[in-house]
Amino acid sequence: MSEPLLSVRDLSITYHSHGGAVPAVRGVSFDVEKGDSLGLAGESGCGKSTIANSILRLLPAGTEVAGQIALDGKDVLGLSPGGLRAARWTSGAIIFQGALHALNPVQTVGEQIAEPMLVHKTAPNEAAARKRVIELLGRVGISAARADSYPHQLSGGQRQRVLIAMALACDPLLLIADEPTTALDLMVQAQVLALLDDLKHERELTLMFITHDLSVLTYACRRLAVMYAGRIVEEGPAWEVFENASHPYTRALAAAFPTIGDETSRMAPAGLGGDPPTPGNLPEGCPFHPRCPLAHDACLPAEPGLRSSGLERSAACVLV
Amino acid sequence: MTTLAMQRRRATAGRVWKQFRGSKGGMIGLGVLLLFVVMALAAPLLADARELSPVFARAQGNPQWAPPSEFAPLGTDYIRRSVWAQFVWGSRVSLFVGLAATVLTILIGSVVGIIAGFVGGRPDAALMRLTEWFLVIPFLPLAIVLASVLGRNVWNIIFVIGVTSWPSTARLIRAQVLTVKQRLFVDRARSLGASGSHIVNHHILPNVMGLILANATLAVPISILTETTLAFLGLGDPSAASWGKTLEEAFVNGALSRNAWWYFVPAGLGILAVVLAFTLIGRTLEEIANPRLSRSR
Repeated sequence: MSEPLLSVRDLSITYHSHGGAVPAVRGVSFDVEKGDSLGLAGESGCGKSTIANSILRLLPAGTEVAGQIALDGKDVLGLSPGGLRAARWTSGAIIFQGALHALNPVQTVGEQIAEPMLVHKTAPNEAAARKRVIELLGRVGISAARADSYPHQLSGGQRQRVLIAMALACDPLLLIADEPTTALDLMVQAQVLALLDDLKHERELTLMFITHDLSVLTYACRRLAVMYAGRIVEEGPAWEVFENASHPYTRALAAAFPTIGDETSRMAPAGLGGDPPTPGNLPEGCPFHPRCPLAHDACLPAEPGLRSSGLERSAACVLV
Repeated sequence: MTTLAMQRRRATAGRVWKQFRGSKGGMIGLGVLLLFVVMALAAPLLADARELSPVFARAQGNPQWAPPSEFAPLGTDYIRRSVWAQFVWGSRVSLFVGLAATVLTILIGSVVGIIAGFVGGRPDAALMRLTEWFLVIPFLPLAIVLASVLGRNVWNIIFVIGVTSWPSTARLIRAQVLTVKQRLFVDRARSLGASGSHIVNHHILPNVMGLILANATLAVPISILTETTLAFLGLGDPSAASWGKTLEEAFVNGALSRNAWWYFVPAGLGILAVVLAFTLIGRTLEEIANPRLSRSR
């Protein structure tokens, strides 16, 4: 097998706040092959966005990052400031969550899509950049006339498309989509997902998709990793993980979605009681055991590591 | 600069003008301001500069304290000079000092505010302590001391107003830069590989421009009023007739008790009109710079 495009090894990320050290990510490893797609799922605060930001080193200053991140053969954590700037958007680009806030309100969307090309000088002049902007807008399904609009004149779905067009501007190898469909209504969500799926095939993009919505991930990604309290607790092919979860947490997440046609699940979707643990104060042993319906004595002594639970699958649970 | 960039600049200017034209207040302000600018530029055609000299006025046989009905168009003062000539020539000094001092104020304030806000850390702390130091010094005594130490000429007055009034601008702009810096689109720009100067030029500056303009509109009237104040206190350029100096002379020579309204009313109204015009223009420009403020789009 060739070298993966993105390889993360033993990644640990600790935020230092006034309240003390907060370990947001605790020893996460995964690979994403070229052309593959990985979905990262989990509740709020489980560390999924932190991982996304760490890949382009966008975490706030003073954050402690340990481990290794190799993107397109480059050691991301060891890059010089200039090398880092050059790698951003060409090796990996991010589609941010919250499309309205990721756009500058006083610049036209055309100018903003052209921005990465000007920063990386991939367009020889403004006319060429402009031409490419029109082309990108067309590709994401927005008319060329919209290039001169301001963000507040666009709908939520259009803004999200603009961000996707911007992410494609420098032909990145890896596309990181951080909750790209949150806060969009269902129809628009489906359109954005279909667009991402088309682009993935068309440009042989490698996709990393982050959301709390498991059903979105099973649609958009081939592989799926579920995170809980800063660790990956289950990993495997997306459909198999969704349909036949090994970890009780994944099972609870998957069960939270009502099944179409099944009246009982629609009226009373199975939820998961309790709250995720605060990263600064994790329970002993398996961090999930206080909420786990299957918890028993074996969960307490130590935190279980990932182990194989089937073909290309692994889970971190003593029952596996 | 490439021709394409120039073309785009021109297109932007055209767009701004088109939006500006739609605003009634802005157009009124612009009209009033243009009137005064034309008056200032055409001063030699409107009034003989020699009329400002009491020697010339006496030789002309002008009456003393003459109301407008006796000496057109605006009467004469205590030493027989034409008030109209003082009004016309005074607009030059008042406008020029007001604008030049504002440019200096905004320039210093913006540079300090943006550097402090964007860079943060130690440079921020150092610049802010300096700003506070300037801020706690009582403004008028400092201006008076500086004006009398440096000597009374127009350039020194501009300098004095500039170096004493930038701190509030700097603090305001720093605060705005701090909030803009936290916005997601700045993170996005950083994530796509933009350098600090690119972020300042393309994202921070355009987003604080509205505030800078709004602050400039406030600073022009304040600069004009400060010039008036300094002139009123007798610290103005003795060789330049300004509206402030007219007010001072009217006050000192008892125009009020003589009921010689024609001596001080034109200068007072002139200051009021120019200050109002700048405020109207600035408000409109701010609306254009910040599309979310405008109602029409």
